Amino acid sequence: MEWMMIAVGGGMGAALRYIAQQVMIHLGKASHWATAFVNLAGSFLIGAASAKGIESGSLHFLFVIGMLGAFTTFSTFAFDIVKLIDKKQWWIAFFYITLNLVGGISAFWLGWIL
Amino acid sequence: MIVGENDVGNLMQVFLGGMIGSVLRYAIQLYTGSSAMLWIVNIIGSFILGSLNGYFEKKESKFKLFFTTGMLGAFTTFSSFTQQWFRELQEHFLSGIIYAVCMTFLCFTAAFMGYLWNRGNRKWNG
Repeated sequence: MEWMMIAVGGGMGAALRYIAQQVMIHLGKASHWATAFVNLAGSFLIGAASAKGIESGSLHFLFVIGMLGAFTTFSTFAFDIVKLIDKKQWWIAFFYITLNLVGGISAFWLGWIL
Repeated sequence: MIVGENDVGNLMQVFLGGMIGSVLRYAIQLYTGSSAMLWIVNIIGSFILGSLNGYFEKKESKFKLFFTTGMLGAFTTFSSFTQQWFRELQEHFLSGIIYAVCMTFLCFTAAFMGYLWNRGNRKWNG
């Protein structure tokens, strides 16, 4: 049963991330800002889930491992950096990395204390 | 935003890819534990995503979204990484910083190498 929940949560998380990217493109912004958004929002939510002690059970599989795991992404984050450096946008690359890392850990902490 | 037939197909691809990527990630977590799992899925996933993005520049595919945004996007994860990073920082601040820098650097390098090896002859600008 846990596999089923992870699969459904994962499908939903990935679909939501794709929608976030499409919205960002629709707004005329680069899709990597959507990656930063999902990583920060997902970090905030997993921080809240950790504080609530959701460490096992169906909610853990569906929401934490499945949905938040798939909603956030490290590979797209890493590849966004490759693209930015390829375009020689060094300062944006630096800002983007800082935003994801410092923003991500801050968002986690915020979710954790709230 | 106008939702067309294509959008539904794209969303379906991402959904199915996301299901598979998440299940694979959990399978690895069961074998290795969640701490080692993060290194494995994020580095390997970044390498494969870089490779596929390079490859799809040469050769168009109808199923690009299934593999890239869906499967690899979901296989790798940022939320569990920040959770683990928070634990590392609580234990030891400096090694916590090194943890995050190493993860980011290794995943970037993996994506970069995969991309360069598979994108054909176009010159690297960076």
